[in-house]
Amino acid sequence: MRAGISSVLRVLVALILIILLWYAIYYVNPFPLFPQPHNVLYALIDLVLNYDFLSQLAVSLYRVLVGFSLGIILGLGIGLAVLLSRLLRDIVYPIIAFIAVTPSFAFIPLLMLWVGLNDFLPITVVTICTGFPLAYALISSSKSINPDIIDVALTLGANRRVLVFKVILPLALTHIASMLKLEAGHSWRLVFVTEYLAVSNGLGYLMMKAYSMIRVDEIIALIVILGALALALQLIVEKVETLIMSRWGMLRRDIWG
Amino acid sequence: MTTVDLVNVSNYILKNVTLHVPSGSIHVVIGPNGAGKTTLLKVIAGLTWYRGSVRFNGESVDKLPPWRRKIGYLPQTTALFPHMTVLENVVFGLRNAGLSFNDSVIIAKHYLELLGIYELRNRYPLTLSGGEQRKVALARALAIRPRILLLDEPFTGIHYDYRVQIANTIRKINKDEGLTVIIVTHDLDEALEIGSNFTILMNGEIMYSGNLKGLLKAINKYLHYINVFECTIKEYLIDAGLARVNCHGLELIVPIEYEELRSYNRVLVTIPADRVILYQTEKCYPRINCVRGKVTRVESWSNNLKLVKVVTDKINVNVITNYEVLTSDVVVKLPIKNLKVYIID
Repeated sequence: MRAGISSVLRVLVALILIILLWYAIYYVNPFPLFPQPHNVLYALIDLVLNYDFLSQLAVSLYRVLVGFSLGIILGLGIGLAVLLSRLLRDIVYPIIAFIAVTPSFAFIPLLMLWVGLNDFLPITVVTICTGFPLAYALISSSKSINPDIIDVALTLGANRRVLVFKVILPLALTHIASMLKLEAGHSWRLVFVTEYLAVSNGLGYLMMKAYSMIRVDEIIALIVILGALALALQLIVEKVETLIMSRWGMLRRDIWG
Repeated sequence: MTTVDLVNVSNYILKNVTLHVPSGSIHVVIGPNGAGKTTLLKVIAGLTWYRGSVRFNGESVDKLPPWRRKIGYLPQTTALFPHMTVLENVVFGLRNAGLSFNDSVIIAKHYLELLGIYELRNRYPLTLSGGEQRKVALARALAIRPRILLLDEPFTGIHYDYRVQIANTIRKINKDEGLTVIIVTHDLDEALEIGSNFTILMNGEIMYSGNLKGLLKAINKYLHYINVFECTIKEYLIDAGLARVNCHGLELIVPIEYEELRSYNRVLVTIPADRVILYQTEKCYPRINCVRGKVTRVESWSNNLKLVKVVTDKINVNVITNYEVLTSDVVVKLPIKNLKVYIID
C-alpha cells in the first residue's frame, strides 16, 4: 500500500513539473499555436462531454478490440497449425516471418484498395498486424523451452497434439504475453492512422478535423486520450499475464524496484 | 524385468558402445563431464539419433519413438512442467496412457506417498525446493510403471536427507518390482552407494563394464580425479567412530559408520583427488594418514589446476592442486573426513 501511494505521488510530482515547465515556455515565448495547459484541459472536458466524441471513441474502441481479438485468434490458430504440422512449418513459416517483420503501416495502402474505405479496413489492419507477429512469437518461443521438458513429455507418452496443447502453448504464453503488451499499444496506433488516412469516423477522423481547424488544444487533448487508452489496454494484458505467472510461481521481482 | 542391450551404438559422442545391463540391476555409468553419459540415456530413451541397435529383452526398439518405449526418465534439470501442479505433473503420463482421471489420481497418490510428498500435490514446481522437485520428477517417472528407469545425476546438488530418501525409494522399487535402473553420475561415492553393476564411460567409449571388484583397477587406470585403495581392516576404534586399515602396507585411519561395525575384512577407501593435501616439505605433522613420496608426473587439469601423480613405496596417489609443484620430494595427506569406506566383503 505504501509503495502504491508513493508511486502515485511520484507521478503527480512529474505531472506538476511538466505543467509548470509548459507554463514557463508559454510565458517566455508566447506563440499562437502553443496553447496553455488549462486551454488543453478545457478542450479535453469539452470533448469528453460531447456526444459526438463519445460515439467516435466507441467506434475506435470497437475496432481496436475486435481487431485485437481476431488477431489473437488468427495468431494462435496459425501458430498452433504450424507447430502441429511439420509440412506447414516448412511452407508457411518463412511467409509468417516475413509479414511479422515488415513494418505494419506498409500494409495500409494495399488493404485500402483491397478491403475498401469502410469499417472493416481498420479491423483488418489490426487483425493482420497482431496475428502474424503473434504466430511468429508463438513458433519461435517453442524453441526456447527447456529441451529436457520436451524430452520428458515425450517419454511420458505425449504425442504431438498433447505436446503442443499441454506443454508448448502454456509455456509459450510467458513469451507471448510481453509481445501482446506491445501489440495492444500498437493496435491503437494502427486504428488511429487508418482512420486518419482513410475512414471518416473514429478518433483519427476527429484528429484530422481538429488539424484542419487548427485547434491545437484539441489535438493535444486527443493525444492525451489516445495515450491513456493505449496504456489501459496494455495494463489489462499485463494484468492477465501477472495473474497466470504468479499462480505458477514464475513471477520475477521487478529488478528496478 | 527388462534387460537392456546396446549393440555398436555410435553418434555425435558415443563411439561403438556395446553394453549389457542385466534385468533388475542398478547399473551405474560413471565418467567425467562431457563423456557422453546423458547422451547414452537419451539413446536408450530414443530421444536422440544413433547408429547401431538398442534392445530391450533382446528385441530391437530402434523403430519405436520415445513415447512407445515406456521409459521413466529423470533429467538432471528435473524438467517439471512449471504450469502444472505436482499432482498434474505426475498424472500427465498416466493420462497419456489412456487412464481415466480418477484412476490416474489413485496411482499418482501412491507414488507421491511413497516419496512422502503427497501434501505438496497442489503446489506448483517453482515454489518447491530442489530436493522436493527431484522427488516429484522421480514420482512422475515411476508412475507410468516404466520398463526401465533412467536417472541423470539424481543426487547432485540436493540435501543429504533427500538423497537418502530418493536412494531408498529407488532401491525399494528395484527390489520389489525388479525394475531395471540405469544411473549416470560423475560422483564415485554416489555410484558405490547404490550401484550393483558399473560402467566407466570416457570420451564416448566404454572403458570398463562389470562388478565392483574390477571397478577398482579400472578407476585407477582411467578416472584420475578419484583415488581408490583396497584395504583390509586391522582394528575398530569404536568410541571414535574410526577404524585402522592397511592399504598395501600403508596404515590409514578411516571413518566408519556405526552399523558397519561388524567383522568385515576388506574395504574400498576412496578420496577425490582434489581433497588430498600436498605438502612440499619433508615433514608431516600430525603423522596420521600422511605419507612421503615422489612426484612422477604433473599434468594440466581444467582451469589452472594441475593433476599431480605421486608414487610412494606403498600406494599411488593422484592429487589435484592449484599450487606450482617445485620439488619432487613431497608429502601427501589424506584427511580423515574426506575418506569414504565401502565394504567389499
